[in-house]
Amino acid sequence: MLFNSLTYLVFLLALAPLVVFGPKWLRNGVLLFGSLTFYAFWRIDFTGLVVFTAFVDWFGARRIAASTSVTVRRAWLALSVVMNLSVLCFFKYFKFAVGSGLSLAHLLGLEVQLTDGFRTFLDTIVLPLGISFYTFHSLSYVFDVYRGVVAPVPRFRDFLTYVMFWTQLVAGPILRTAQVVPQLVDYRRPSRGEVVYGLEEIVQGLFKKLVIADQLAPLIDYGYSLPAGKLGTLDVWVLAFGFGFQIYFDFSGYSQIALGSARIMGFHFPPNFNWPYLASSPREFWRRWHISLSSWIRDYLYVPLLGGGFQKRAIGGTVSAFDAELGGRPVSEFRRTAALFATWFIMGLWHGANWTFALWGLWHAGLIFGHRLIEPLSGRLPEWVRRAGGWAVTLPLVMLGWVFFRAQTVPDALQMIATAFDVTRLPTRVIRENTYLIAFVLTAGMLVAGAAARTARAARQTIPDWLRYPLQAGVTAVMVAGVFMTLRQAKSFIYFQF
Amino acid sequence: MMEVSPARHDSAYWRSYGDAWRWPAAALAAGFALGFALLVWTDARRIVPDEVGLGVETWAQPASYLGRRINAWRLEDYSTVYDIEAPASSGEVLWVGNSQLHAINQLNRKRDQVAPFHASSALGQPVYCLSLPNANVQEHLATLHWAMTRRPVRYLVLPMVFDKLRNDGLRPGFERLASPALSARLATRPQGKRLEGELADLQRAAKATGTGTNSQTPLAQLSMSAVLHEVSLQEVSERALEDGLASRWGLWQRRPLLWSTVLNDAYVFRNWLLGIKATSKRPMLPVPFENNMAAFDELLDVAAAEGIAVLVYIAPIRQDVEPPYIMAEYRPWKAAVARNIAGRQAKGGAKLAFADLDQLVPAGLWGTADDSHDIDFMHFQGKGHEILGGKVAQLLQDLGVGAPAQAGTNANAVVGR
Repeated sequence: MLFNSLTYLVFLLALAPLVVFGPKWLRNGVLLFGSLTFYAFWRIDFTGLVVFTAFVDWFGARRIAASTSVTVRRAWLALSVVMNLSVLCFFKYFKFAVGSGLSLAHLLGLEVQLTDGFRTFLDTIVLPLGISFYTFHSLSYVFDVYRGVVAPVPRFRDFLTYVMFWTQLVAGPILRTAQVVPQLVDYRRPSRGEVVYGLEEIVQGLFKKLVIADQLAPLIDYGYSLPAGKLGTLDVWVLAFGFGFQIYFDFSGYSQIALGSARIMGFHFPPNFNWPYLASSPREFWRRWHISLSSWIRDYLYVPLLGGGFQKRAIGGTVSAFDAELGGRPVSEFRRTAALFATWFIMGLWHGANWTFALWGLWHAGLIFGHRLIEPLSGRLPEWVRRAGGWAVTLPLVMLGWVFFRAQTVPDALQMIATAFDVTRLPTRVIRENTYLIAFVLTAGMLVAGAAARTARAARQTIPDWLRYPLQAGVTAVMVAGVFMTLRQAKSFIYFQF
Repeated sequence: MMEVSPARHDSAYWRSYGDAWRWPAAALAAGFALGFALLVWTDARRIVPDEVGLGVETWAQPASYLGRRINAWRLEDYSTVYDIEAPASSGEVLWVGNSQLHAINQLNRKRDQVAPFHASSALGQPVYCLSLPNANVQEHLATLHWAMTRRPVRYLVLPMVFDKLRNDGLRPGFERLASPALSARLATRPQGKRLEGELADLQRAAKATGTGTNSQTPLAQLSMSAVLHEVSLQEVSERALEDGLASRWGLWQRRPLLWSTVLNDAYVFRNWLLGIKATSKRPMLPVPFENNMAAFDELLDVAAAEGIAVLVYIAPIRQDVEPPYIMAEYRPWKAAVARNIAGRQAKGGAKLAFADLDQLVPAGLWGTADDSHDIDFMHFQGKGHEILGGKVAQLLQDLGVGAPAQAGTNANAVVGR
């Protein structure tokens, strides 16, 4: 089910009161039934796959917890990991692997032909909605039980509700068991203040998605549909910034609807975005962008690759420091760098089965590595110079990285990146004229809004109520009207494809 | 026992209005009320998107000849006008173009007719006209292919409008014309193949928004498709809810018009902010220009292959005010079009004619040229339509269409804005 649809609003309106006011047995039933229904609205047949993988993980985790034998515990852990990754790889990467294999064979001078039957088989493979997200939910639980961070969830129903809870099922945030299950078991009704807050989040999220991201999409799609070689220097930068804003408003809008929906039912999940484009370093960007993913990757991939093993730390929260998880254990610079690039390569491919995503990951690895190199020098600068300069360098580099994310092919992406620094193509303008204007307005708007947000907390204390609440009502009015006019299944959220 | 999340103590987690919820709740409720007031206000001044670009003095004018409607400027009307059931003549004429062909400046409803009517009258046979606002050559190419899937076209009239070469690809709504036969025709040549891909994208987008072929599918049939996994349950529920609301609530049904009104406001605001006027020079955009000229070439190839005689003309533009074109771009382009036709004529084959009609309509037959509103460079008065229709009829006769016939046999034109 899509959040940006009438169906979802009716669904939420019908189920939320049952969750909040119903007795415990009804609440638990509604949460599970609602989550299954939510997924089935995309495909009924694939709902069984989620239930199956969740059951294997739940059962495996119980066996891990019940056993004192290291061998048995490892065997169950291995079973869970192999099962999850096999399912993920088959549905998400099998076609990609076959395609890459064929390309490699071609490069080696071998002409390999697929049979018609095999081609037909490949065409039948459908990527299950949200598989990358629910696989991570489920896997993190097994890891946490294995390392003794959480106790196994006694009831499969509670575990399945955690994995499938509709507010986080198809595009995150990627939550840990300890962030969800205690709230399911020890349910607390929302206060009126929480309900108001949640409703505001939903309206804001819908506005971001429908009125900003979806309206921006045709301009950006058109730009990226043009032959990469025809774009001018400014075109590339505008398309990079344009898509950067599109994906931000799309995904952060989704996250806000998700968090708001959970909030009005009394569930609290951590925010997934925190003004990422105001970051003054690549590392800070990843503390502000898709926070739940970056903390998951840090805890379950980067730190183990560094040799730190699984940490005795339950909650990811924000990525406080990628490297601070080793408990003082010395790590060679080579290993640290290799782990960094390997992590980001995998992180890139997690986003999509295409080499463009892998390059996007490596681009960010390069940025973090570069920042690591210059950090000792920049650290000597005054704070405001370091922050302003850092932002002025980080923002364009992060935005340019989106070119890899959005381009259709690696050659297209590389051509665009080269054009971005080709001054001879400065006079060339081929994208729609409004794209330049909108990219400028959004960048300027972000700076103004960021500055306003920075002082928002102070402003809340200083702006008198007679001004603050009418302002709030006015902004809400514009958002409600905009959402009303544009609410439809226009475009699914970009992150649904992952 | 499950470990309690440390994040429970994180303020970002538990952000809430707490006990001070009354004013935020009142602001939220007032926001919803004001939002709906805003919608009602927008509804009261909503625009008709197909007509808003015509200008304040200009009206779209339907035309009929011998009791049959002969022009359409909305894709949903194409099938009615270019009717597969209607008897086709051996000299079937199709005129494609933009709003210049269906809009009349300072319309006199009792007297004025559009150019295709005048051409039909002069030729004594219907000249069918499919003219979309701001249509580009790629759309003309797709339209010709679509027409060929319905009736044999023998003569094609193709106006070349320099300004419209800034527009690229097929507009949303073209998916209404999609069919396997059209896809098969498009797929035979490079530009058509590209347009076929765009058509498929439009179909997918329309399906997702429920405005495409699904919107005509009965709900029961759509439900059955969901059982067969051809569509999702979400599509079925969305259609049911959308249809239910639209049938009971006019404001909901008019949402697309309301949104068009807001976008038009944004467009007007942009023009005001940047000082853009109708007279502002519009530089040509390289990629749309190349795509349109490639489509033009392919259209002539298709016509040659199908034995269609083509009349290409440079569309009239008002000459009493400095036009918005950059002349250093416009003049070479006209020469290039003429050279293309001359080259093809020299090779022989299909019949081709070219005429530069950009000065055909005299200065006094356009719109008001003062500062009271934006100057209209595209649409002329009824008399101008008469001149253009007569000229095109004459050129078509030179190409071999019918014989001159008595004018004014039609009295069926419907007047409308």
